[in-house]
Amino acid sequence: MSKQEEKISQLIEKRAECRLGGGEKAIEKQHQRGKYTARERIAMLLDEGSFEELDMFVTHRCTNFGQDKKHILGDGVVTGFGTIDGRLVYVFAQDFTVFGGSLSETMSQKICKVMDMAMKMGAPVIGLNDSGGARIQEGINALAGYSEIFQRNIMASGVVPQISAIMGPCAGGAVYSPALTDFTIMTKGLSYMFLTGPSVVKTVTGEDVSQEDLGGASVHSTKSGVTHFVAETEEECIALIRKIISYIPQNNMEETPLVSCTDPIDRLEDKLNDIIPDSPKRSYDMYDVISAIVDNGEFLEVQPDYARNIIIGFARFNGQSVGIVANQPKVLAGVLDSNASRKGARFVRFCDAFNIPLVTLVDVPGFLPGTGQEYNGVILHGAKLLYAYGEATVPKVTVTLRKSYGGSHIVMSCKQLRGDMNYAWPSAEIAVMGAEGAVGVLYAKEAKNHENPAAFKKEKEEEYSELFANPYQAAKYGYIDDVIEPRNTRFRVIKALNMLATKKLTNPAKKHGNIPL
Amino acid sequence: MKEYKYKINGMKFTVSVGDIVDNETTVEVNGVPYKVELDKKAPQKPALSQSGQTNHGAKPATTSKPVKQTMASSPDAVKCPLPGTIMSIAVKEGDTVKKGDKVAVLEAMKMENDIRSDKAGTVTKVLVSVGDTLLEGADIMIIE
Repeated sequence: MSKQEEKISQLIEKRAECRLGGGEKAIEKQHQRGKYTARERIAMLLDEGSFEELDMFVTHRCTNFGQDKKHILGDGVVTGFGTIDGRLVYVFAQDFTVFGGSLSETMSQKICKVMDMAMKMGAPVIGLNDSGGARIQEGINALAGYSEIFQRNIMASGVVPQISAIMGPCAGGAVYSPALTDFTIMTKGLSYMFLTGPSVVKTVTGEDVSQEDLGGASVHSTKSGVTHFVAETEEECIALIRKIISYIPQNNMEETPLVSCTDPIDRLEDKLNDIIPDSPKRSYDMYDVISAIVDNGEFLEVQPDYARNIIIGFARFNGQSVGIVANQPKVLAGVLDSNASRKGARFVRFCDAFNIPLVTLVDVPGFLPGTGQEYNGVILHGAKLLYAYGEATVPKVTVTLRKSYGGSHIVMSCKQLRGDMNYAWPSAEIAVMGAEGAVGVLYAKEAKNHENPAAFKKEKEEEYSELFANPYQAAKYGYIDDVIEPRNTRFRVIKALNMLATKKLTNPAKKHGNIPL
Repeated sequence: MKEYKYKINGMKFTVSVGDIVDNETTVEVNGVPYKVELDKKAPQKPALSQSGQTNHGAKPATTSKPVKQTMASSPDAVKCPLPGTIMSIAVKEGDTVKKGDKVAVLEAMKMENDIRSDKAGTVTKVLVSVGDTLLEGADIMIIE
């Protein structure tokens, strides 16, 4: 063997050593937990053979607590780039088999390197998190490492899409990186996220709570809204990431990806003509409307189990990806409350940041009344949604299906919030308030003096409904651009989006606005 | 609130005992709150309202049909999702239900809202009747 050949075989050996991570035993243990290794996950995520790994030979430089004797090539994270459906993405995957995936100074440097590259090249960053937390031996350097990552998350926010998958533990400071990114996916049963773990909770508050009940996937998908998606398995989690990427552009300067559309754009959906029940008290399922109008009925819902009174997610119209925001009359009567407002607002801002047009489907009776909501600051939360819509410069198409009352009418992408195309179905009721409330105010005195106040009120309510609970008052002033036949909604939305494709609108130059957080 | 000060083995303790509701109270020891359950029920003081709110008007709270308050509720309870009025109840005690079955209809925000069971089980207690006005979070029935 020549000297050069020897060097090459040394390289091959080193690579093989690195690929083994924490060793065969640790890999087997990871598999026994029902989890894949970092490299297996990346292989599933990226197009076959597209992955280029960086920094394989990095090791830490900590000398505390005997760390200078423990070195594993790669230092617990696999980083690099590859493609998803042929489009460039940057990836880092924490390797639980190496020091429990704990974060060191050098691990952070590896992660920061791919994030910096993603910013330079304008491509999404995908983080697969599976880490026991900071590497305690490194002390303050581990904290500095986290901070370096967070700072990059913040700088990348709104420039390149950032997606976090939580595929194992994610506790303490580590949770902030996913929280700063655009979308978080948790795997059921195998992952958890919390700032302080069950043992700290127990000593401080006395609550006895399991990891799963404190920060499992079901908690964060239903109660806290911290995670946007829950995957049953790791395969499903990876498939979800690929799916999300298919709807969003590479960066904030690009248009959304277009796919060819096989669904006829002028498809009439007769069932929409009678989906609205005759009784205004009856509900219907907004999902039926969404699936009837979008391409092939395909809808990728975001946060499906959190604040279910508002529906958000991605779909396509004529191959163009859009963000859909819709009230759900089936849940909590479709009211807007604090959680629904926050959920909607963040999604609207994501879409606006990445040039994804917004299609809003409105059927909202109002904001949820009560001390619970007011004490909780529903004013501020509602204002977030209002701010998000008003600030958005992407094409905005709104269809009012039925109710659109008062403040909630304004918040749900009304014409004056720079709505580009505001349609209404004939069943729309767009008014300052409902008949009962309005008559109570307008005819309070007269009703008092009337011999039969109840009958008088009822008569006036009917009169009010007839006059105001329709789309034509709003259309009369141009606040509704057109009243459309429900079955034709798909075609009209597509035509509007097509017309709006070249929309250019900019907000005044400023450092940044002050959204009521 | 009553406050007591103790010295045990040279350590100072400040203990304050809160109002007794049914047989539960909170005790704060050096600022850390603990929930304490008493063996015997405390004698009920008639005028003292339970959750700090006063009775509207002079009538004793037993006769009128007040708005149902959120009680210390069972985890098996089906909860009222938003403030409203019960229009109908679809099940009776002893019925078995599946997850997602409609158990009641609540009129709220001028809409009929189906209240569905979030699990399978048997209805052991129906806590409301038609016409009751409920607040958000109130228990509607217990399904075990």
